Parts: sequence; C-alpha cells; structure tokens
Amino acid sequence: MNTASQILTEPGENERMVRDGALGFVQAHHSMKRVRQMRTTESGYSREVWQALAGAGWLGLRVPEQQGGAGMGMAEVAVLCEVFGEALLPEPWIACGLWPVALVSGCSQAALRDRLLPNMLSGDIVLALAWQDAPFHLDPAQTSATLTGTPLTLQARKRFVASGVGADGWLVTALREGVPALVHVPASAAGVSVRSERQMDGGVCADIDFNQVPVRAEDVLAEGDAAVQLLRAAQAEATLAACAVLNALANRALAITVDYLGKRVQFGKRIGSFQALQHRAVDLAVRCTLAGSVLRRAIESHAACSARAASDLSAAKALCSRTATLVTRSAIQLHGGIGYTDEYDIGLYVKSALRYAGWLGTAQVHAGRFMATKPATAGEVA
Amino acid sequence: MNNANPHEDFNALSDDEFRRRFRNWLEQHCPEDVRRPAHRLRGQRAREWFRLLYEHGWRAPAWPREHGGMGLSIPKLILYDEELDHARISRTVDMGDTHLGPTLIKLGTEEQRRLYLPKILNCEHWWCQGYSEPNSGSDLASLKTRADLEGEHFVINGQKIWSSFAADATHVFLLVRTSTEAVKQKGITFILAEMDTPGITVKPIVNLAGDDDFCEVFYDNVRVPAKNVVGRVGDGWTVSRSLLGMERLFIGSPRNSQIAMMALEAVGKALGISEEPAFKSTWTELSLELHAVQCLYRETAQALGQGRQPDSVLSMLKIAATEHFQRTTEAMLELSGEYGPIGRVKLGTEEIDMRQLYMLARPATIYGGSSEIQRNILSKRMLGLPDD
Repeated sequence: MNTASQILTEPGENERMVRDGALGFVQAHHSMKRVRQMRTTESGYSREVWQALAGAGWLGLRVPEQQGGAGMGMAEVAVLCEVFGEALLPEPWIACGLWPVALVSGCSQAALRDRLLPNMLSGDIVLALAWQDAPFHLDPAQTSATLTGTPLTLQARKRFVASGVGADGWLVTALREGVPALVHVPASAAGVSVRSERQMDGGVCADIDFNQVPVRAEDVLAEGDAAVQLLRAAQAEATLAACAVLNALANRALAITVDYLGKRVQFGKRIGSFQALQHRAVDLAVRCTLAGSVLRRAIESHAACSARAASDLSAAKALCSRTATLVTRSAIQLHGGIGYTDEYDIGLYVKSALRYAGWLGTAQVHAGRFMATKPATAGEVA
Repeated sequence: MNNANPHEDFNALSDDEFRRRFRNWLEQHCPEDVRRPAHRLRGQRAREWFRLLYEHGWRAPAWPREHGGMGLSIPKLILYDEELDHARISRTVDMGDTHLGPTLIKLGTEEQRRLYLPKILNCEHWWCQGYSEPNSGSDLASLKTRADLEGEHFVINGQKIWSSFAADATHVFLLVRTSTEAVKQKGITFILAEMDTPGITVKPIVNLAGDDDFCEVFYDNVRVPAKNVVGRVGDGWTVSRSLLGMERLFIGSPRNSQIAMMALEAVGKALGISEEPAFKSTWTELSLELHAVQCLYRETAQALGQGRQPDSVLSMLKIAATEHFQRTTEAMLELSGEYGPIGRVKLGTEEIDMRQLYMLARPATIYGGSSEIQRNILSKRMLGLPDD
C-alpha cells in the first residue's frame, strides 16, 4: 500500500533521520504487549522508557541546539509523532515532552529555564500541563485560576490534565491581577490534590486542585503578553503533533485493514476482491490523504507564521480527528468479528484515536474556530 | 498596458506581479456577459472571448512559448486559474487549448503542429472530442467506431456520444478502431477530422440542466486523410492518455465547489437563513471539506510541477472535489425549502440558479472516469487489493 505523502512529497534528510531513529527506538523499547500492559498502570506509561526517550535525545528534538536540543522543526516532530503513533507508544511524548519542554525552553526566565530544562531533557523531571478549567476550552490564556499576594498563592482547579498523574510537577496557568501567568508547581507542593481519570485507551488524565498553594517567585515562567504568546505557540505545536499522531493512527489502521482484506478468504475468494469492500477501503484512503495534506499545510503556515496559521491549524485538528475516528471504527467493520476482540490490535487504534481526537479541542470545537478565524476568500484557492 | 508580451517570460515575474497584471487586464477587458461563473460560455461568444485573450497575449497558458502559449509554470497556472475565478469568468470547454494542442505538441508531426496550433490559438478552429460511444462509456477501450484504410484515406463509420459542444466545433479529434486483432487498447487510433466532412451528422442531446452541450455524432463513410493520424496507427489509446496529468489536475480542481459555495452563501443571505443552526452546521462542514480539497489540490499541483507522477492522488482529488461539489448543490436545494423545487432564488437583482448548479454537478462524478471507476483503480493501484 502506498500513501499519498509518499507520492506527493520527498522527505528531507532530517525527516529520514528522525524516522529511522524513531523506528529503531520503538523496536528496542516497545511492543504491542507493552501497550496492553500499560493500560492498567497508575500513570499509563513507564518512567523507564521515558528515561530511554530522554537518553535517545527525543525529548529535545524541538529544543534549540544552544539549549542542548536538536533544533528540529515541526515537520521532523510530525515524523516522530507518526512513528510513535503507529506504534501506539504509551509514553506521553507530546503532553510531557514537546509541550512543557517548549514552554520552559521558550520562557525568558533564564534561571528557571536553566534549573528545569536540563532535568526535563534528561528525563529526571516530568512535567505536565495544567491549563484547562473546563471542557471545550481552547484558549490557554483564559482561566479563572488566580495567583495572589506576596508570597504568591495559587488557587486553581484544573481539569483533564493529560498524563497529569505520576508527574514531578505541573506548569499551571493562572491570572495575576487579571494578567495571564504561567507558573511551575512541584508535585511536592502543599495543597495539591490529584484525582486520576482513566481514558478509554488506558491513558490517564487528572483533575487537579491547587488549594492555596504557595508559589515561589522564581517559579513564574512568564507573565502577560509574553505568557500568552508562549502558551499559544506551544499549544499550537502540541496540537500539530497530536494531528500527526491521529494521521498515523488512521494510516496504520487502514494498512492493517487492507492487509487483512488481502488475506481473509470467504466464499472461496479473498474478501479484498469484493468491490463493496474495495470502495469502502478507498474512501478511507481518500480521507487519510486529505487529512495528510491538511496537516502538512498547517505545519507550513505555522512555520511561516502566516495569517492563516490559526485557521489552518483548526482545520487540521478537526479533519485529522474526524478522519482517525472514522477510519479506525470503520476498520472494525471491515474486519468483521475479529475486529471486535480485545486480542486483535485494531481496537487499540480505535481507542487511541478517540483519546487524541478529544484532546486539545475536538473536531467540533476546532470546526467552530476554523470558521471564526478563516480569511473570507471563498473565491480563491491560495 | 496590461497586455502580455508574447516574448515575455511570465515565470520570471513574482506571483504578486503576475496576479496583478492578469487581474488588471481582466478588469479592463473582460466583457460583462463573460462574468457569470455558473454559466458555460459557448459557441461564437466563447470563440470571441478566447480570441480576445489571444490578441492580448493571455491565451494557452499551459502551452510552451515556442508554440505560441504563455509557457506558465504550474504555480503560475494556478494563479492564472484563480484570477479567472476572482473575475467570475464563465468556464468554457476549449478542447483545442486543453487537449489537442498539448497532444500535438507532444506527439504530433511537425506539419500537424504547423497546421493546427496557430489556428487553435486564434480560434479559427474550434475542437471537440469524440471518445465515448453508446456502448463504450466507462469501458472506453471497447469502442467500435471503425476506420478502414483505403489508399490515402481512412474511412470512418460509427457513432460517438457525449461529444461536448460538437455542434459548435469546426474540428474533432477522435478515437477509432483500426484493428480488432490485438488486446482492445492496441487497435485504437487517434485521428483528426473536419466537422464539415461529408458523412458527419451532429445531433444535440438535451441534458438535465436544459442545455444541449453534448451531442451524438454519427460517422457514415467519412473519408479522412491518413496523415491526420496523431502518433502511430494503433497507438491511439496511449496518445489519448498522454496529457492526463494536467487535465486530471483540473478535473480535480475545487473551482466548481467554490462557485457552488458562493452560491450557497448567497442563497443563505437571500432567504435570511445564514444564521440558522442547520445552515451554519452544513456551511461549516462544507467549508472544512473545501479547505481539505484545496490543500490537496495545491500539493498535487506542486508535485506535478516537480515532475512527479501523482496518478493515484489525482484520482482521489477528482473523487473528493466532485463529490464536494455535489454535496454543496444538494445542501443548497435542501436548505432552501420550497424554493428547492423552483430551483432559483433572488438576491437583490441577482438570480441564483440553483437548478443549474445542482444539475451541472451530476455528471462531474461521471465524466473523466466515474467515481466508481476511480475507486476500482485506486483499490488496485494504491491499496494493492486483489482481483481474485
């Protein structure tokens, strides 16, 4: 099976390197068996493998070289996410890697950055993002959490903190006299209570209460416009990365399905020779192709800081979410009964797609934002 | 001053400059009756419009400059197309420009090029295509119209159908069977004929949009010089496929969808339903899908420009673009309530012809390889599914 991205684009040198490296990593440290094992662990992933991710340098992929990273762009990040997505790697590379690392690496508080970043890149400290107050939220600058007094005290109730359980601390958004701020709160801080929610695929998100939690002045990463810009940029990258995972899930589920259609024999024929099934499979391939193109477009306009970056990003999240959920659940139907068993792998893709589709804004939320942000040029393709 | 200089290399212009030049020219020169995007310009009027483009150096954008075209790169071609849309120019079927010219440039003899290319450019000749037959639609290679060599001439007998605008054409390029011996694709020949050759009878067919665009064309002992064969005798199948890259790109263009979306937006305004939840949710879905088709279109065009052969993706693009076009026109009729069956609504002085768009969208999934044929091909070529 060929994919449209192979037909349309030639991967760059770095992209090829990342792909090969990531495939090697997955082979050395991961298996489908692990996916099932991790479903019942407290945090949903393994700190040991996290250390290996750090050791291989994957946590610093997007970090500038002068800060000890590899200085790669989002195209390379997308490649890594594709490999990890296809393999269903349970380690939260986006939620606790790319995203918090981008915030710490991009903040202008040099002392705090120098204190946290090396430990994050070495895998010794795992941070998660506590930004969301309620479902359906999309703007990280919007929160009712507060930072008051001197010394600072944090009052916040954060919801759906992805991989928030088992973290060594959180990056928390709050308003200080109405101005958005981003602070670091270590897990050991007094007044923090964490409730774990298990997601369908075995991943974990957390509701976290920060009740009169003292925050040291040196733990403030950013404030005001700088904080808003930092948060939005990092969230955009996390969202693009999630789209890459969604596309990988869809493409892999389709490949598994096409492979099965080519082997399974009924009525004396391989069922993949039946036109009804062929056309259904092609329709899914068309969806995958469109989602791939939309994501590459969004990555391009993000890198160019184009005026369309926001609408392209939302279009990507909406379409990639829909595509991954459609393709994975259609894969159950195309497999027949075997697809409905937990033993067969396709179900793992179904559940993982649901997790990523519901994270960082659902299709419906992003469709709304796409309409609100897209330039009104119905007559032009450009 | 916005005329194109025939010796000019447009690809050297910046995108903005090229866009500006063509936009200005269109604003100054494009007649009012050509600015009706949902309508097809045809006949004498179409020829006059293309003649005007020719006289000002804006004709045959895709042809190489040494053959009298503009020699535009693929990115510039897309800009050219976008500006036509921006100016709301009616789309016209111009088979000489899009099909025959490029075929002759690629595979014609020196004499054929010298004879035909200039007359395509100045619109003295107006070409139609003779491919499909009553019993050879999706299975085109089974065509039976035969051509028998008698001395220096081929004698053509048979019937073609769906020859768009044959009634307006001065010439036809057609596929005929010159041998029944080999595999069906092998015995086909690509040949050129003048429409006023004795024995050719054209009978227009009224379509569901109420137009008589396409025709049946009957060939009864039509004598055509053997030198009118393009490529070798028996190679017609390959000749007819030779330009499918760009042509298929434009078949997958989102422009019809964009026109339908503009019409849907206008219908929403005309009926005061733009803010209704049903309208908004449909509008949102269609806008997202249009965005996706546009992204894939651009990427595919770039790939073609880099010399890639994205055949499978072109098939996908055609499926996605034409099906979006259809869905948009369907939504338009459904959302307009009792105006649906009437088929038109008025917005100010402008009448939106919903019926026309709805009907125009029907054959989009049939011609150029039906959606189902595209899916058959994709299931094998791209997914590698078995035949058994």
